[in-house]
Amino acid sequence: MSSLKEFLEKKVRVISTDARLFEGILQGYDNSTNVIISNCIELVIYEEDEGEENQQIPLGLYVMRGGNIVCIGEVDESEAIDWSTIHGSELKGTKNPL
Amino acid sequence: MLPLYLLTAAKNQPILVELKNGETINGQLVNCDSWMNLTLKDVIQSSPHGDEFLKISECYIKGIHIKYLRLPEQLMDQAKEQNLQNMEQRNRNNQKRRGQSSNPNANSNASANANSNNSNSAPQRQQ
Repeated sequence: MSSLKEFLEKKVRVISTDARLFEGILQGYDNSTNVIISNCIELVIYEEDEGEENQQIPLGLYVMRGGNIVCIGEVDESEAIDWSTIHGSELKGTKNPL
Repeated sequence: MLPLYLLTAAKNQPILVELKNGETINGQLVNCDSWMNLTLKDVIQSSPHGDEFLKISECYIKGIHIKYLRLPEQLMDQAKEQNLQNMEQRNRNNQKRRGQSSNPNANSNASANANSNNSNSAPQRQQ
């Protein structure tokens, strides 16, 4: 049985169906994968040729609805990523009916 | 902690709701239920691109349309503390109850006392 239990109180990254990337501490979850993320930040990454600077937007305490979540993964903090220099193309959004 | 528990702890506090269509709704949470349906008051609704704003005194949001909620930062600590207090209270009540059942000598006198102690938490059968 897979469970988010192991991720509780740990730093996680969440990808949402509208192709956004969030990072924060998983404080709780329920059966429909609604999650509580504290100290949430949104990571905005641009393509290299767009010439825009990546952003980290602090958002605070977030409750995300399970239907809006694609995946949740624990962050390996031993390997620091320099988010300001990383570039990549946009994730494709998943189209879900309401 | 369960997300819906945290949400109920956010009652009467200002929250931000983003809907699946990108609209955001700011307002004070009046009530919520287990489907995450919400009622808000003193609401400001913003269009997906943030170019139109609408002021509404009260509104109802069906939970299924919600993408995410943004809650006040200090709410997490408040809710945790509340949770702890509730748990302690429950433990104390349980201990009291166990204390009665494990002691057969505590006869009618004691149980009458216990009944009056618990009268606000459990219905009394004798009546």
